[in-house]
Amino acid sequence: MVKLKRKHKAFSLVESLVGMIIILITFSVGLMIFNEVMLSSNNRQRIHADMLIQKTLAETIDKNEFLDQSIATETYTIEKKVSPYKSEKNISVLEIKIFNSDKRLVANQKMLVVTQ
Amino acid sequence: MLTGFLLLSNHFQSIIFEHDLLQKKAIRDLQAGITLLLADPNIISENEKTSYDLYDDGQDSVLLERKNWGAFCLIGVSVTSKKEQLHKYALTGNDLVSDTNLALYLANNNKPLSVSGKTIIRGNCFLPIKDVKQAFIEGEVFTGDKPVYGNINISSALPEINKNILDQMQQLLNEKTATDSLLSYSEFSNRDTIVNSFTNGTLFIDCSSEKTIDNKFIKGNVVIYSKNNLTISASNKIEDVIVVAKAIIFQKKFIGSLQALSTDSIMVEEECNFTYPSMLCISKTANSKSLPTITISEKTKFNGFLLAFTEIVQAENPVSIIIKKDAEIMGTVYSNGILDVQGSIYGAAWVQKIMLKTKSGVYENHLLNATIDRTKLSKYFVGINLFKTENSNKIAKWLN
Repeated sequence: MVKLKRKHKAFSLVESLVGMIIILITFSVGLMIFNEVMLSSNNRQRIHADMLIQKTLAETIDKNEFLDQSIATETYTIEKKVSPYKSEKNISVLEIKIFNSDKRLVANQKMLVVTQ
Repeated sequence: MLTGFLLLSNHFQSIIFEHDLLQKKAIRDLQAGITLLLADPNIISENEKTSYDLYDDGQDSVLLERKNWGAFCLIGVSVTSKKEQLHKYALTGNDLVSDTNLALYLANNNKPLSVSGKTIIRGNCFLPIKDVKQAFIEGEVFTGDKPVYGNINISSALPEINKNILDQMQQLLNEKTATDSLLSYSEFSNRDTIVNSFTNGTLFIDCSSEKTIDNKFIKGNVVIYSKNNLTISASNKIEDVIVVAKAIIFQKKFIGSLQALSTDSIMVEEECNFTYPSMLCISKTANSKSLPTITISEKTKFNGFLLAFTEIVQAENPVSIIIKKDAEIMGTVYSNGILDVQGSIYGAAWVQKIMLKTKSGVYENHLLNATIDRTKLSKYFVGINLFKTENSNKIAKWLN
């Protein structure tokens, strides 16, 4: 068996384990904060609301349903309003508003549609 | 550090999300501008860029533009979103489907239409006399089951062409519109590629000193003008451009999409391919003694509009459109002079007189081996406002 001539500096098993646990705890806390930030931001809701608006718009045009409507889903309330556009006979303004469960406006979109 | 990285990543994600929302809003505003201009182009004056508040809330302003581009109406919308500017331009026209499925309108000159050979007419017709005669010309008798597959009505005078189109054509032919940037021929000849967006002013290229255009790629908001005759060879690739010259020759196998105007003649040689929306137009003034003619040679495919008109319809020196054997026109033909068709028109034709010229003679209101078939024209085909004064409300082509 070869005998080491010099004494090598190194962490002991306990020190390494403690270091790994600290990294793990930091990572977990960081991930929790990130998750918290993601959930607390409006982005997630707004992405959902935007998708819901696109879906409602496509359905409205497809079914030619240019009527004022209020549709309640599990998490959102969709409010659809059709109003005449200035003096144009064939064009209407379609406004879709999405409210969350706290009745706070999440997204709002206006567009011109041909309703002749 | 890790938490900082995650927070930073979240921050950038929010920025990207906001940018995406703004861009989507800009695209919606562009679409709204186009919808508005299609429904009512008169909300803005012609040849002017007008800022327009879409919802009167100061948050959705668009820049609207409308002008004539040849026989078409060109509409444009621009939106500025932060530092980005988005544009949408289109050529607009009218739906042809509403035109009672018309195949042929032959002005009433009290002479019946006669058919012979393999002539086919599909679609409704307005003819001088209800009965279509079967004739024996050049040793050929009529071989079809019936001459017209559609309703026949009695025609009256040829409907007059939309005055706006006439004015626009005359303006282009008189070179009065050359107020934008002008490119001299020497500059033009040094460049292989000329692409001018419709967001810029119209680029006028004066080719009066040259007879032939060769090896060029020309696209967009460009008017090529010549006081003399102009030959466009097959080595060119031309798209969306207007060509104005005394006489124009498109050489064999030319491919492109353009609007060409002439006071003398337009000659399209064999095997050319004009893609939609193209237009060839000849115009004769009251004082002119020339015989303006559009000639479409054999095996040429033309998608668009052929127009030949004279200010005063007269028996002598009429304008004429000649469609030779195996040539195919997908679109509409209008001539308040003569139409000589031995090829095919897949669409509709409005003509003052049909004239068949053969080796042995000239026959009035005779068709020999011709096809006029409205049923082969797509129901989505968008035409120009030939007679109507109503708004252009269909997109013919999106432009850059």
